[in-house]
Amino acid sequence: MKKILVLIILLFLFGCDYKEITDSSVATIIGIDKEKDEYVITALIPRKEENKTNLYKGKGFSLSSAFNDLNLNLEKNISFSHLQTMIISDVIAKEGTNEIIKYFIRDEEVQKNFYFFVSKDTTAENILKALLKTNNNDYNTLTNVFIKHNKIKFKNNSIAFHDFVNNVLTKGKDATLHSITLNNDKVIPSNIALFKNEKLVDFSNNIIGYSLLSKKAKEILLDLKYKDELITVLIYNINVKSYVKDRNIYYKINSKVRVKENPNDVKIENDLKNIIENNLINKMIDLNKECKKYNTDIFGFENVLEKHYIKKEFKDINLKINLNLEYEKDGKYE
Amino acid sequence: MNKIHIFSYQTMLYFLCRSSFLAFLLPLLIKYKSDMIIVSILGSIISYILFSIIITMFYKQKKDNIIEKTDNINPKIIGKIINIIFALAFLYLSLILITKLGNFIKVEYLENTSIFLIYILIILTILFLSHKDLETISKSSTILFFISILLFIFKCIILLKHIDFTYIMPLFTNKPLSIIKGSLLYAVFINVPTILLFLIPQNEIYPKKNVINKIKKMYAFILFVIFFHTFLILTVLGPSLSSIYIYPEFHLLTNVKVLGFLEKIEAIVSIIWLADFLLTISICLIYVKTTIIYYLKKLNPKFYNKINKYNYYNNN
Repeated sequence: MKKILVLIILLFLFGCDYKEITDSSVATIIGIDKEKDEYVITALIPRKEENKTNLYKGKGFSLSSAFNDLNLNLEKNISFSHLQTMIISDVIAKEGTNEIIKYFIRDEEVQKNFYFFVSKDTTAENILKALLKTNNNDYNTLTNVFIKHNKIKFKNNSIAFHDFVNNVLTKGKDATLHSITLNNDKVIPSNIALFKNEKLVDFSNNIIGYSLLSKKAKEILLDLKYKDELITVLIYNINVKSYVKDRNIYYKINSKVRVKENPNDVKIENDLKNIIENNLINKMIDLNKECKKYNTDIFGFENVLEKHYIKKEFKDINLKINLNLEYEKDGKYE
Repeated sequence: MNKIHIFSYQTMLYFLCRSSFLAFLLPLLIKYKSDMIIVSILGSIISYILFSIIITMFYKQKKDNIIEKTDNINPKIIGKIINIIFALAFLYLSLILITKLGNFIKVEYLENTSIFLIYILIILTILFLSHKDLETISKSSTILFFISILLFIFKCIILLKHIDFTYIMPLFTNKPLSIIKGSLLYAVFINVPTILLFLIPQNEIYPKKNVINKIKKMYAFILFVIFFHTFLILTVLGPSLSSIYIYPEFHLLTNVKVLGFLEKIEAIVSIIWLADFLLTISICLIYVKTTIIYYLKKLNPKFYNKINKYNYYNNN
């Protein structure tokens, strides 16, 4: 009797939520735009049978209806279980990302650690089209483009969807996203998108200042003018620490620097260190000023002070930076 | 009743406390945001004191189980009323846990399956488990305990590098009265299911040496494990993200890649939740069953003998 009962239960268990991978269209990169109050969703879906990646589109007044419409255009049901990148247009970002956050947080199938970008001065659809065109439908290249962008332009300072949501929800902290744009039909990384609450307020091109203040920079390549000649220096072994003192935020940055390129063989003197230090400090101060202009606390200074039981508004918080660079000769050449 | 080994008793205590943590404590703690660590520490201290008092009081007399002891309270009617209240409370607890487990399976594992089918499967498993006696359940819990601890260690190792200590601050953002209220509720929630184990008289536990001390030591260990889970939820997810999830413990591992390629391990690691809930619900039902049998035996022995006879033939 017991064995029969177990067998009956097992019969019920077979096939519960069973999905064959070949019966699903796995979207790896999706773009979300808005056209006349309607959501436009574009998805890049690799098709193994044809050995290429296709672009599909769906429209709807809500995200759910847009995804349903997208599903209608596909032979198989769309699956986001392997979603790697999502791009939203700057138009949507300016209107607010609340709906997108709610939709994807509630979707259990989606891993929340996909890359999250904003498209700048173009639609997400155009970005996906350009991506498809320039990368010859090569699935691996398509997904690696963003990883490469992240490494080179954004100094490995990746922003995943769950990080963005966490920043939006955290009191005394605002969110940022990386932006991408088109240049001669080529997808290139662009500026840092600054958010106030869940809405985009502006873009900042001060990526060096951002990577230093967000404490994620490992090395920075800096082009600067020295004795009227252009030289390139590499700032490496960057160690950024922040602390609270006198109700303000202090940054202490220790790093090493060396000349990477000196095409005209300019004689390097001790003042180079000061020039680089001033350059970097100005970049950080400029970014902080830019944030204050929009009252967007992207580094969570308010939150940091709150952790020290200090209540102070972002606009009243002063940023003090102590930067120590250690100059090192290349070692190979004089 | 057959005798139960002290270790099996300890493991059952572990699962009872864990199910209480998942079902009742976590939703409570999350409301306290960064103060959840303070509430958890204070709550653990109060829980330990409360549990020590209860267990010392209860196991003063080694022979009877909780139903018999309560029934002997004078005047007799009060004992009966308390026993009925306890039985109804544990029946209610089991219903809540069935709903929570069903909901968890539906949301996280079987999104497209009918909730009724899930409930049927849970109820069938529970009926099968509660049909057995506590000795069988204790043996199952002993085996599952090792799996649970292994998964806990595995989870800790994976999450260690994701811990962000800044989430702990600022402390005492809630009013002191609210923190004390939270700690007391913590102690109550975690100790209520432990009453179920008083179905086992001290005489039935072997080896008989230092039984109370051994149980207390295990209880301290359980409190530590629960505290560490709370700590991980706060420091990995942060107070903001953890407050938007119904099952934050489940989502601890959603964004983690093990060895750079293993993803979605949360579904495997959280499988032990089923054991936590199923064992607790079964023990609840055994408690209700024992109460009914006790009074049936007392009030209508003839009818009881009839059922018992039928049961005897049926089981053999």
